Amino acid sequence: MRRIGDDKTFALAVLIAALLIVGALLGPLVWPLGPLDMDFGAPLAAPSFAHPMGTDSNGRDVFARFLTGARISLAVGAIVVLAGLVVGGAIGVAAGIGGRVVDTILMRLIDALAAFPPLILAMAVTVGLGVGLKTAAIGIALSSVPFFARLMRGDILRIRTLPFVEASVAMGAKRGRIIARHLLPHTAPTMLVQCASVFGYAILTLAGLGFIGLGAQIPEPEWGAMITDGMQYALTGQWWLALFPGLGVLLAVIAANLLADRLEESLNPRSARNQVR
Amino acid sequence: MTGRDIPLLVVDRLEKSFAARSSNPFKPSREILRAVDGISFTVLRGETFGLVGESGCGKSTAARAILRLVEPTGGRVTLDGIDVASLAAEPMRKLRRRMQMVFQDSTGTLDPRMSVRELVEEPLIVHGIGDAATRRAKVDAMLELVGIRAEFANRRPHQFSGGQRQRIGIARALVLEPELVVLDEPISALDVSVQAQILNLLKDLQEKLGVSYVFIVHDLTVAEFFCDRLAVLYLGQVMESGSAKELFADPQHPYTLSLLSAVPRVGAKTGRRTVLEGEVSPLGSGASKGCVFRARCPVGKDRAICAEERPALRPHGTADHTVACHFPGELSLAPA
Repeated sequence: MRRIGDDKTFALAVLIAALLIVGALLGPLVWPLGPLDMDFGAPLAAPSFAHPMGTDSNGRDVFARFLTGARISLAVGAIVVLAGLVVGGAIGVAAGIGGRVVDTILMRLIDALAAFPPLILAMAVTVGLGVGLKTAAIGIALSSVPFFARLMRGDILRIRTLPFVEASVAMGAKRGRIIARHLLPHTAPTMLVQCASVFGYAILTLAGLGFIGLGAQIPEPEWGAMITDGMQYALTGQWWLALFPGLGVLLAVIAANLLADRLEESLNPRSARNQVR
Repeated sequence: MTGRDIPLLVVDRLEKSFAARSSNPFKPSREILRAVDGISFTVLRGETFGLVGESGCGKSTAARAILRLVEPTGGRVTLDGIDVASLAAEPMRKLRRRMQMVFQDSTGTLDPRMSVRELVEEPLIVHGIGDAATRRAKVDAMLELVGIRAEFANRRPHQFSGGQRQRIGIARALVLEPELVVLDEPISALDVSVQAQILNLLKDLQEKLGVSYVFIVHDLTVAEFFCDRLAVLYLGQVMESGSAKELFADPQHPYTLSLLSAVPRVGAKTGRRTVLEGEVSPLGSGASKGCVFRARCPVGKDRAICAEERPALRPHGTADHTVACHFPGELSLAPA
């Protein structure tokens, strides 16, 4: 098997991810300008030493906004992954071990949820709960539940037929112990890959919702909303407004998907391609 | 006090049938596959009882039904007077401390993510035995008993050879000090050179711990060496049972005989071999009538009574030796 460290693409993905994470965590603390600080003396300034990514129409520093935007994107990505994993994973485990009736009921519910295209579902939830960053995160998390539930169910169904599970029953292990000690640890490789993949999906969808005005609202330094704001100036030559947040989304999603791909190859060489695309 | 002659395990007309799958989803099959079809036997304390037969005769299903890893569909299993099949989940779980299993596939039945120490300690944790220090001492003692060196206890199962893995499986089963251990072909996945070591280990442990074994085996020479008494199974039914000594010296059932004649023996004159044709296969819907072995039986193939009436297990000679055949002893091992 190819060693993970020898892989240049993987190294690149790790580098991008590390830069984004460090930027998101430390950037807003270190960079002197705030994402909402306006400088009316310099609206729509081109990238320079003082403003590496230029300024917007109100003279806000795009670099400061980019860093805070990274923070928002990564935070929402993490929250979505965590919520989707816990809720979807629990549903998947219950369906996988609960027998035919439980399995049928849960999976038909998941089918109903997955019948909506994920973006439409996230949009509907966001609009229903009141447009904003938090409701967008809730909507995206909900739309990610089927990804986790289906994968977890399939993995549990596979693992529970392995001989060591029967051996645990013969030993006299309680059901809870069998699930926690013998089933769940074996789903870790698959779930890790799915987490990375959904992380990218969450960032992309959040930006998408922000872009169409259903996520974060415009003064908020969210990448999707920043792209929308910058679009009006694209034709008048202020390309930096939309380009940099766009690059942020692109890099974050690429890094997440590359990590998912490479993790999948190294952890689980025989498994099918990812569920989320 | 329980004497040696009081049966530990009583299996009484044990049945396990499966609904055969139908290929047509609109016309569910009514065929039933009787994997275990009314097996009865008793196992005394400290003895080894063998279940012998070709693959597909229901040995492993019988083992799993005794331990309730599959639910029996009929009959009774009692361990030390406790009706195993009627227990609720929690008492059943607790009873498992007294009845353990060693599996054929030692690779698959040991969780690959756990270390040897964790694997052998797990049964103790599960049954709430001792504190961490006591458990550690017990695990160390058990590993020493099965011949796994303590410094290897932190390794994972894949770092051991097949024979060593089976030793770990045995340690896992015996660390609970059970009264009964079902050995499901514990050596058939191993090299011949290792088989003898494991068999000797099992015998030594039986002498030290006084445990009873139900030994599932297809190899007759192993059965002769290892078992005190045994039952020969065919299509889920007992064809013949008795003490190993007597069964091998004086087999009465044509099936037992055919199996024995297929065993190569050093020094023996090449006797007549009774060659069995075909393989174990259910007779289909008409199987409820007549002897299950008749299709392949050199004695009763064309006899009316064998097709009409299922032969009951009848004592032959000594009280313990029973045969289910209309014409016991007609076929003989002696060279013609």
